[in-house]
Amino acid sequence: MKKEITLNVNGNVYRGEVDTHQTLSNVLRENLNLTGTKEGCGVGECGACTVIVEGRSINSCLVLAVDMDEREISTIEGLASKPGEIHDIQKAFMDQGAIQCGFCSPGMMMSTKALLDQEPNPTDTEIKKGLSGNLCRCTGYTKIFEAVKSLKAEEVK
Amino acid sequence: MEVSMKTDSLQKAYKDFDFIKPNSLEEISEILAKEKGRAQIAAGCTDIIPSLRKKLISPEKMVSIKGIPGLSYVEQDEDVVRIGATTTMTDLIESDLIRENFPALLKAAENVGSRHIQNSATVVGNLCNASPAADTAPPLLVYRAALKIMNQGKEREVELRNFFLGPRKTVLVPGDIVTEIILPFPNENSKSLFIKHGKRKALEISIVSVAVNLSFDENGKITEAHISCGSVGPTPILAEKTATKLVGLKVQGDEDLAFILEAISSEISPIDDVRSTGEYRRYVTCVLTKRAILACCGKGDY
Ligand code: FES
Ligand code: FES
Repeated sequence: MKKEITLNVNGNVYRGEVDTHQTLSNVLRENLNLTGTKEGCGVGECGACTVIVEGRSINSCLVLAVDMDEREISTIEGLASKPGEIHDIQKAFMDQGAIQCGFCSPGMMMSTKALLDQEPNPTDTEIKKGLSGNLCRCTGYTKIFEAVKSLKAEEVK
Repeated sequence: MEVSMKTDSLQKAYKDFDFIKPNSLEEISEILAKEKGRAQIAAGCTDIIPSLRKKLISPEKMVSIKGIPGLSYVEQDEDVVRIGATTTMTDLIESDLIRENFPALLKAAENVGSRHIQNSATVVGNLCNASPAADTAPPLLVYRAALKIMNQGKEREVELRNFFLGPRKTVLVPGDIVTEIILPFPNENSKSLFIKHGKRKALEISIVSVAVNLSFDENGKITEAHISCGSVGPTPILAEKTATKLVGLKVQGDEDLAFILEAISSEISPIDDVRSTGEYRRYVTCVLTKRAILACCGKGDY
């Protein structure tokens, strides 16, 4: 069944029809062509689909797009402020070698964003908790952890 | 910038359904009454979407309550705390009321899935799913929680201990909606604890979980005891007989709790599944129960 919805993604307003059974990750990728958000497991276990909805990280595979009507969503495509530029989080991941195949990276970075927005100086435990919903199939956890650590406000100064 | 969406979508994994977003409890009540069991109430959706994918449910109508104003709260009302129907795990974790008074519930909420899941998943949803492994069920059982249920404008209260009937089965009938969890404050001189045992620390369904809530007199003797275990039976279990045996005891150490293995064994019915064997579960339930009791009595770490 089709429903008309409005989504605010990275500051752009999208209006259109979606199927009621479509998840947010599916609409982002298939309808809006924002393929930076990945879908791995589709059941909330891997975090590849992590997006931020009004300040909170969520699994976009676990929410129906129709349920997100009128909500503000941030995806990896909106992380950098301008096309052609990269965000500090992206730079830190590159500098620390925290990206291997890259499939988990958009999710990891969105989790990092949600974490740092809430707590600019997270403890090691807080970092681990903040990333607890994201799996890296290449198992590059140490470097990902180091990348997030290098972004702590007190480190950056 | 305004852009229109492409309207073609992926082939759907499951049966088509209508999606309704009511604006008030009254409106939900009307819809549920009319649909008589064909409607699925959706809140956090963290369990509904996997269930749709696995074709465990195939509703004709999905009724989303997430956007209804005024259903998300953790607030004190005289001697109870009320938790609303759309309150998320993160809301619990961030609530001072919960942090200061219900440590076992706080710990359980922190152990649900991952940060992302906690941001979406609701506490009421965790109960309504009626999974034997529901993380928040054991603590809510030992805190003697009750549920407020509405059906066509009529309200009733059910104690949580009488709510679960079996795996994914509760006393809820078509038309019912759980609107609130009612949580009495723990006794003055009491200690409570939740321990979850799984293979890893996040995104894990428990192999065994245990919650304990003990009250003491001024000499350290146990005056009231509640023990609950998850993942060791068809529903979360309130081990009342074992708890009764604790009353009157002043626990000094492990040697005072030798009876636990036999007592708790008679109250649980763990099975073999992909996560563990039944035998291992039985043993671990005993170990965790003892650890939790000792820690509550100030006689050890857990
Ligand atoms: S795709 Fe959403 S958590 Fe794996
Ligand atoms: S870099 Fe390959 S999954 Fe993480």
